[in-house]
Amino acid sequence: MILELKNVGLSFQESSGPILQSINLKVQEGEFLAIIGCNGSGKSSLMKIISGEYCQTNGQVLINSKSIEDKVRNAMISHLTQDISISTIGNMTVLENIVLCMIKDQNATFNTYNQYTEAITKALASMNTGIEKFISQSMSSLSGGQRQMIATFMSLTSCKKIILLDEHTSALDPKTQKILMEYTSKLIKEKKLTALMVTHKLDDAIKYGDRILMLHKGQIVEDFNSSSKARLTTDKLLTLFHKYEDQTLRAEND
Amino acid sequence: MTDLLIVGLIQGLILSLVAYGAMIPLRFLDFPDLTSEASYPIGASICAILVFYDYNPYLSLLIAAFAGALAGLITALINLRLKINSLLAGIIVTAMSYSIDLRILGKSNLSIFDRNLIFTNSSLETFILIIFILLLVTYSFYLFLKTELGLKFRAVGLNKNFAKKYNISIAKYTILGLCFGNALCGLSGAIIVQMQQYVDVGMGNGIVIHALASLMLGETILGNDSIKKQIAAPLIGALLYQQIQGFAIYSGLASSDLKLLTAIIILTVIALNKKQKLV
Repeated sequence: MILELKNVGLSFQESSGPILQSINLKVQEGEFLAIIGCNGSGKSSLMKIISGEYCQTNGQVLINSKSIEDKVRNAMISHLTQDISISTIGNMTVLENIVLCMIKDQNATFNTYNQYTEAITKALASMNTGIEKFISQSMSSLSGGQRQMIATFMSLTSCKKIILLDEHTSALDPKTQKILMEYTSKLIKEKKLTALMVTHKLDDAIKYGDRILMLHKGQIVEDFNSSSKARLTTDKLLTLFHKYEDQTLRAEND
Repeated sequence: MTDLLIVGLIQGLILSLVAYGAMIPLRFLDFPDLTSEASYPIGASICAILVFYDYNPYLSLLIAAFAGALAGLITALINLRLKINSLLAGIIVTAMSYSIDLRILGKSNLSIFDRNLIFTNSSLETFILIIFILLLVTYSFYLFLKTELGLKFRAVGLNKNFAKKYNISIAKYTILGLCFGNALCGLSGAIIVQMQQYVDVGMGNGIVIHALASLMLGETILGNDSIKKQIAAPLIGALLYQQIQGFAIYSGLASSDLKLLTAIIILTVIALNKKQKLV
């Protein structure tokens, strides 16, 4: 499934400048794209446009060269953010949350949902974090990290071809972050998913992304493909960050 | 004396049906619903007129429940389609129902003595019959919550953003919940009419307050942190609430004082719960 953005722009009435402007982007099937950029550069807005949550002010979002209605696109894409209060229900058990995700696009039946317990326990065990033992506990009794782990599991196993990850590991401790990132990357490869990941961790972007985009003031300013990415280091990326920041500061002072 | 006790229990059981009718939308859909003020008397009126014309008394109960469900459907549609606040929607339907009840009965009250009814003279048999109806209703609702449909139903009340994200139709489940809840209220009105053998269009006035008081009492005693407790709460609460009322009358209060007493009970329960949470 090829995702394509053509000349996409976004502006809100209440904001002074455009949030995004003339974004042209083509993501190949199975590509893992890391998106970096400072706060307010438009990363999350870009995700929301792709998922259909925001409607772009101009331009087109195409899937396999076809323009698809926001609502339909929403059903084709899984969008995971760091906000676990939207991606999971605290007052339900882990099992209940995962079942809701599994039957998202089916008509619900009068069958009991306990029938899925075994299959889900097995799938959770493949994460190698021991999280499967919490399956019948309520989501709110888990730690933030465990809850985000379940949310990631739900997103990656939701049978969607395109996955959007918006800083999905940022609320976690370094060790859990690593486990979750490894798991994310493994599943994306296994299932040949097309993934777009917003992150502030530059080393994660370099390590896991097939390609890296840098956003600045609503525009794509850098696009490293796999060959140019090979020469990239965290320091070089950091230098680039400062370069664009300084330009902005200078422009504001003039 | 035992007869008096059983009658008190029976009234508590019938009231618990209305408490279920209020609890299901409120606790499972996060939809505060006042429609029981309409569905309860509509169920009573329909059942009374059917039994009056010698229809089967059991069939009359079912039709009354169906009429209650219809009232719930109207409230749900007013809220969903016209985007009117749930409480206001309930009040509008209640206002409508008064005129409709008068049309159904043709006058403001009707007695159905000597008609074919579900109850015999034995209050013990009556008691068993109502227990059976209640178990049937609550157990099937419990089983429903354990199904895929029930899971989506619960998700609507717990997290509307999540429900939207996971393609769960809020409208569909709101309609389902309000129809079911108000079917129970209609059924409750129909049972009480067959027991009293008398209907009055004003009999639903304030019923929602009694139902909420029962629900809150039950939740305060049992808690509502699990589905089992949540389902038991209206029953336990209604039984206790009925005994409190009986005791109030016994100790000399006039029946006209009961609404004041109810309001005081509700406020006390809320205040107690607040205090518990602060500790």
